[in-house]
Amino acid sequence: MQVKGRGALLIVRIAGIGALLAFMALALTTMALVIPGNLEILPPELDATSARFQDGRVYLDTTLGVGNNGYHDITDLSLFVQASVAGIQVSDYRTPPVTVSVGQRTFINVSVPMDLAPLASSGALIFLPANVEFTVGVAGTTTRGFISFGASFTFQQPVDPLIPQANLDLANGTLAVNGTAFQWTMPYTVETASFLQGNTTIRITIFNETGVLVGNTTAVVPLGTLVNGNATFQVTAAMGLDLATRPQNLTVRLELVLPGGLGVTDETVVAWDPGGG
Amino acid sequence: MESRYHPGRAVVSAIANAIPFVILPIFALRTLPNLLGPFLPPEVLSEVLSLESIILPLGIGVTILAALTAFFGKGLAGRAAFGTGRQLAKLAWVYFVFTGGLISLSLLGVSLFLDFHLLLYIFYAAVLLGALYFVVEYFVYRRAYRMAAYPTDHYAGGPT
Repeated sequence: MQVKGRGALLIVRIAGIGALLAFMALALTTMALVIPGNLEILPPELDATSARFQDGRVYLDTTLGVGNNGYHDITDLSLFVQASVAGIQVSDYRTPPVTVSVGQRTFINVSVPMDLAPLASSGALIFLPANVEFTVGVAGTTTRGFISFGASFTFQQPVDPLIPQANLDLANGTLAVNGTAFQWTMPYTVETASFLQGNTTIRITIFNETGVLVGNTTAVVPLGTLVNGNATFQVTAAMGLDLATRPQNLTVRLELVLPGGLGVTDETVVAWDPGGG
Repeated sequence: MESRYHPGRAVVSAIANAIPFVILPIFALRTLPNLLGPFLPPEVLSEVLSLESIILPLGIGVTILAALTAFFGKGLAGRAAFGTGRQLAKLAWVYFVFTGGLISLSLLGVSLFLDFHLLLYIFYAAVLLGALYFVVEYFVYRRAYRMAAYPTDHYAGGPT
């Protein structure tokens, strides 16, 4: 007997087999990427040796290398970096997406910006060494957009502070009478990270133990090196006599503005003894 | 006249479906700890091994439904029903074994993710077209089957 509708049956069968073959072809050609050598990834290296300072930000320069010897282009490939210091996020950066065609090897040069302004209040990394926690990852799509993939790695990198030392040597200060007032001179040391460039102005302010201003001064220091200098304060006669006659705790506030407007402040309490100073 | 029931085809179909949906996956899972055990963290290994609890029931389901599908001749409602059920069971097998097309794991401090759910949609389309095939086949062969089975029944082939 003649069976009607076999054409429709054939169409459904062919469509089903076609979809299955398309699936298998895409799956198998994608799996070829896991064959050693087909997908090459040169992971980016992030450490302080690649740091540079520009416009108030620290930039970490690195390179991501990707080679594609598979059967499908890798599209929308991007590198993302998140960095935090003591739980404070200083970077959340993603490179613009690139395409790595079949048979191509691409190197993506990356400058990861780290915004240190949020650290100014905590002092972490500014005056103290800190562990920077990095999360570095790559993400992309392949197989004509049918497959998305990604990998990320979290690690900690110890980083020296931007300002390893900033000291005012009160113990070696000299207090001299200058007319009706006193002139108080003492050595200071400021050391800044080697990748910092340019000059900065430091402001040193000293308060006595009741919070009254003793004196203040400013000095221009070159960045990226160790600087030894002398700070001179003009002190009123009354304050000079007070300092010359009794030991007390003084508060030394050091304000420093790094290029780009990143202002940092360090405040320490120093015991002042006129007999020893 | 072609037989209405095919026990031989049922056995062959059961074996043909048991191999990809039960035997090979279970063999792979049982072999995995010996091959990759030293390289995989225990939590990842146990997660992979737990797939056995999905593969076995769904795979056996696919096998039984495949046998029942092949047992019934073309044009029988049983073939259409079990055939559609078999395809849906295959879809469920793939969906659950491949976790919907999204795999993420942490390995030696590296987090990895693979999202291939769009690719699985093509497989789902193939499976659903397979289910549609059994439905279309039922309507195409129903009249022929009835005419052959009940030649004196003047209602044969008519709407039921």
